[in-house]
This record gives sequence, structure tokens and C-alpha cells, in this order.
Amino acid sequence: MIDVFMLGVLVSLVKLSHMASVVPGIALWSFIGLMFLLAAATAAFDPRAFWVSVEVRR
Amino acid sequence: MNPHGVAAASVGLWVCNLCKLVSKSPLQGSIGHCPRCGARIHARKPHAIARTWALLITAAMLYIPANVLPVMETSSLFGFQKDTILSGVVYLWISGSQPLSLLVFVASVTVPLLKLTSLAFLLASVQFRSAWRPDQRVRLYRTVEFIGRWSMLDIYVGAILVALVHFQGLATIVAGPGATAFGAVVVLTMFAAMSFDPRLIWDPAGNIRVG
Repeated sequence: MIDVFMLGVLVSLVKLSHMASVVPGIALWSFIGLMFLLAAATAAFDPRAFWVSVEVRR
Repeated sequence: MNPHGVAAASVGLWVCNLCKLVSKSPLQGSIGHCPRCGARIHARKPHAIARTWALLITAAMLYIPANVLPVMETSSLFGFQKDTILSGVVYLWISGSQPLSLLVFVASVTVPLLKLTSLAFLLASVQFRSAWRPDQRVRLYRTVEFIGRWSMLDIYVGAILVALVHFQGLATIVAGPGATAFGAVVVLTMFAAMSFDPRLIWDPAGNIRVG
């Protein structure tokens, strides 16, 4: 959902820039980085491997 | 035998939707618990067709106010403006951000319509136990599930703008009644896609009747 939110931020920045001057700060770039890293982390996680390791410990 | 393999439910095996463990189904009753993660499991989601129809019809009814009523009410020094979803798209297009305007159009007009129609089609085909191209229909279902969350885009835009724009006396933005309806449409269609059981698509092909 964070990628959808990111695009929401972009669209609202464009809409806002017609009303007031908007300067994107460092946080925006960090947030873009967060979005990509989070997506990569979700894709890399394998729930089956997680359950296998749980069963081994039991 | 079914050319696609054997359906687990027809040989007394159930798969857990949460941890994907395949286990033996309980001898009686239609609800069991996954021996590994404890989640509730059933051969097919209970009352999947009825539940999905209910959510889908509610969403379709709310789709009308979502598009007719304003989603955003902007009051500034330059006047008072009410924006519906479509007028927001037009505004973005005129003000020179055509790519973003297209994106918003796809996310908040095309995607909900596509979801409503394709879920209705899937439900109807499952209800009449159609065996027509199950692979294509499953692909359609996956697409619906994947694109579903993108409709939240306009809701997020509204939420951010309402929170940010509070220039005392100069400009304020308030969410309109259309935003509530639109948010409900998005959430309801997402729930509808979740309560639908794609395994039902394959059952007529293997001549399986479960639950």
C-alpha cells in the first residue's frame, strides 16, 4: 500500500504547487527509498522457509 | 482424471490459506484448524458466492454517489470550488500534468469499473458452473486482486491535501461526501475480491462439488 501512498503524495504535491510553492525535502527522497526497499524486502521473504524453520525448532 | 492434476479437496486434503500447509481434512464438519499455524481452514471459503455478490452489489450502488458527489471542497481567496473525481482528473490535465492525470484516471475511474465488471463476470460464471477457459478466468481474478489497492490513490490525495492545506483564511480543503462513498467502493471491492474463492473457478472443470 505504501507505493500507492507514494503516488498519492506526488499527485497532491502537483495539485498543491498551483496554490503555493512546494519544496520537496529530504524526507520525500527517503520515503521513495523506503518504498523500493520495502517492496524488495516483501518480495525476498519466503513464508514457506519461515514455517520450515519454525517446524525445525519444535 | 483432470488434466490439471488432482484437486486436494477431492482426495480429502485441505490447504491452509495462511501458511499453505496441506493437511488431512477433518472427518466431519466443514471447518477445521491448520495443524501448523492454527488458522481456520475449509475446503472452499464458506458462502463465497453469496458474500462476494453482497459486497459487490453494495459497491456498485455506492459507485454512483462516489462519482456524482464532490470528493473535495476547496475554499480559497479565489473562490469556492467543488471537485468530483472526474473534474479532478480534468483539472490535472488542463494544468499541464497529463501523465499524472492519466494515472489518476486509470486508478480511480478505470480500475473500479474494471473490478466491478470482472468480479460480476467471474461470479456469474462460477455460479452457472461454467467450464469455459478457467486459466483465463483465474488470470482475470489475479489481475483484479493485484490492481485493487491502486484505487486508494485518490483517497490518499484527498487525505494529504485536507491535512496539509490549512492556510488560515486563505485556503482550506475539506473532504466531500463523494470521498466517503468512493473509499467505501474501494474497500468493499477489495473485500469482495478477498471473499471470492478462485478455486471455485476450477471445480467445474474437474467436476468437483465441495461445500
